Amino acid sequence: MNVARTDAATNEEKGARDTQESRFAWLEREGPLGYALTAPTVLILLLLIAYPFGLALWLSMTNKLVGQPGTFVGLKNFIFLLDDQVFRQTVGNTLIYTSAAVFFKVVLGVALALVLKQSFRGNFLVRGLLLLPWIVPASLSTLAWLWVFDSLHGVLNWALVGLNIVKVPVNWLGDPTLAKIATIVVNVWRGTPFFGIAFLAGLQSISEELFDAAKVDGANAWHSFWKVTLPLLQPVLVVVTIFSIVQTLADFQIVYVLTRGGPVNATHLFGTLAFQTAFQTGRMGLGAATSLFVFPALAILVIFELRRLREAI
Amino acid sequence: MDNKHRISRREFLKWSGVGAAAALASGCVVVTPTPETAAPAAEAKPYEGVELSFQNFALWIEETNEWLDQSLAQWGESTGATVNVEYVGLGDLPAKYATVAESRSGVDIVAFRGMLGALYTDLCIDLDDVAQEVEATYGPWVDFAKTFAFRDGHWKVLPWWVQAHGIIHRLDWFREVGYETFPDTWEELLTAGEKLKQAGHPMGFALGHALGDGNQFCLSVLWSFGGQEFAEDGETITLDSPETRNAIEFIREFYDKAMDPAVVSWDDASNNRGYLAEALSCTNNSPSIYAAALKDNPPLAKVSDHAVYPAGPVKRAAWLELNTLGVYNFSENQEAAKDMIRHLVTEDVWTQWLRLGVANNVPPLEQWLARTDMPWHVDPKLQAIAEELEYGQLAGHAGPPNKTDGRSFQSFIINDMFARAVQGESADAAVDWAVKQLQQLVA
Repeated sequence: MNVARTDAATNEEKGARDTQESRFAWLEREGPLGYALTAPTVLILLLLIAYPFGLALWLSMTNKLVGQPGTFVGLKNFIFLLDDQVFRQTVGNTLIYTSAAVFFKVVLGVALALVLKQSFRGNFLVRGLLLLPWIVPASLSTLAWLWVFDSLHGVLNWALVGLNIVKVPVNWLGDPTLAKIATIVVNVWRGTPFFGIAFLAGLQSISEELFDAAKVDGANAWHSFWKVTLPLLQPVLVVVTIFSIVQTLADFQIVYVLTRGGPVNATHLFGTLAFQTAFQTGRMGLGAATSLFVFPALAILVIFELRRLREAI
Repeated sequence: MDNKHRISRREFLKWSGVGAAAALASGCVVVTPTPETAAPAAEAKPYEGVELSFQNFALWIEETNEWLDQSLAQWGESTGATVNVEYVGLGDLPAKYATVAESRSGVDIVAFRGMLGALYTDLCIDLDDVAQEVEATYGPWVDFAKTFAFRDGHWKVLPWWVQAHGIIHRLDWFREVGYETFPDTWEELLTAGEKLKQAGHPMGFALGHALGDGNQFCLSVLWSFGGQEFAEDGETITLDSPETRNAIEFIREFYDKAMDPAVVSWDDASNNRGYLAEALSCTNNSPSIYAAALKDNPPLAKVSDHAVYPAGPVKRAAWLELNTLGVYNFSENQEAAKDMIRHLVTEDVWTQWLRLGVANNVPPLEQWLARTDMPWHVDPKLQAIAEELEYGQLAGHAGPPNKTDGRSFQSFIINDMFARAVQGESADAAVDWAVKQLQQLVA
């Protein structure tokens, strides 16, 4: 009886509402409202990412030169690149650059996180300062590094020669191997704070009880790190590492500002080579193909990461 | 739960929509410019309301850029036009030209740097009348200027100035190792360089991706040893030759015995910095170093001098960087643009601009080269600079300066060929690599 009365009352109210504001009733439902709110973002993504991407895909299959329309040539650009010595060198450079940089960022990031987890005076200040390399725009900080590495006037050589570690200034940016090391150093310097902060967040989510339990079982610091910290840090580790691999593979600013891809193409990455091909020599079709070459590999990586994320959730 | 104070989604959307609309409306209020109520002009200015966009690149001498801005502002005032001059950084020029060419908008008059002009002449209108006027007023063009600018029966661009080069060197240090006059051949320079490097004063010629200095050095050495990229038809690749290998062997020795090893990573400013820091005994340069020394370090200028490029076993050669002016065919104010160019080459404007340039800008006209009031005659140390126009060649020699040459130049193929050789690759491998790269460009 009470139920029937409540039902009737609710129906009455609902009827009144419907007649008054039936036009906007659809906004009350989560489905249509959700689409409406995400529409602006989708529009931006379509215009600024999907459209240029589609254009690049089309360009990579033409022989377009700057200022002239191109004709469709299918996969000719990609086949050409496979045979091109400079491109093959770039693939090698990118693999070395990415694996070395990400490796050091992971290791240093974990170390940084472990240190920051300790409570000491000025902890918050240190955390803020350590984020600076990540925050400062890449081109600006790389310009500073350009000065640091300069063989004639750079502070690094000044210090090395002054401390008698070397007799002659080191040709940092002119020697192919040293130039590679220089670009990796800048990338690691830039990226470690990000890893550190992400891992710190991950560490803080590990319950202290687990460490206490491990201590009770007789584990020392090393054991508890390997058996407790790392396994529980794994989800964050995997996500951040894959994210960083994608970012590092696509790096442009650091290499462009520091070496422009030289010396003799020793530090070229896909991004810088594509830029040089498309805009400096004017061969846009080939440049687009260069930049898209790594897309399938990156796509697989990202799909893999998203799958793992979904499993974790 | 007090329902009266909770805002439903509908209300929130309604009010935020109103707020956004209000913000948009206030931003859209058009500010109408107050009509000028000045006294009626005596005569209508020819280009009233015309806006011209001039894409230029800065010379190393700041006074020339200021003078240019000033004269263009004056011209704008007298003709009613507004001239917007944009100075693009040298390293950004290729990308900037490409962007404008692709979007076909944004620039009316463009200053092309060297070989980059060859890539875009088909986007330019004919400037026959202007070129013929210049010839009628100032005398004949130098040959290479016509070769570059005159294509398919028309003047596609107007030759404007040559960034002529010489070898700036330290008279005192060369004297110390026994050279009263600057060596005349590359071989002699190598011998001098060996002594100078041992004395702690290495030489420095860019071997890296330095668009101006790097190409200048590498092409000059290649040509003076008899090598060349293309035959006269501009398409047959003739790089693979014993002469090219001789050039490679020479540069290898020169790099080891006489040069600062960092040259492989140099850009266009590195040799300026090195010489002004007194770390180099000589380098190739248009007189930007000398001009900077005259201002900031007169004692250094006193002990420096310019020499012509050394000769190789086959000939004396250097690359001529001919900078040109063009008007894009998608410009909406082509007549005004041509008039602006005419203004830049009037006697007063051009003379003063050249005077301020301290021989950094040399006009490719026979009679200007002979004028005694010009910097290259007034200051004997600048004489060698103007002499480059006698033995200089355009890139892509011996072919015509076409797009392929432009691309090869842009890709630093010759620079990289030499750089690979000095870093250990065999001459054969380096030449093979360069030939393959050139073939891809011609294909």
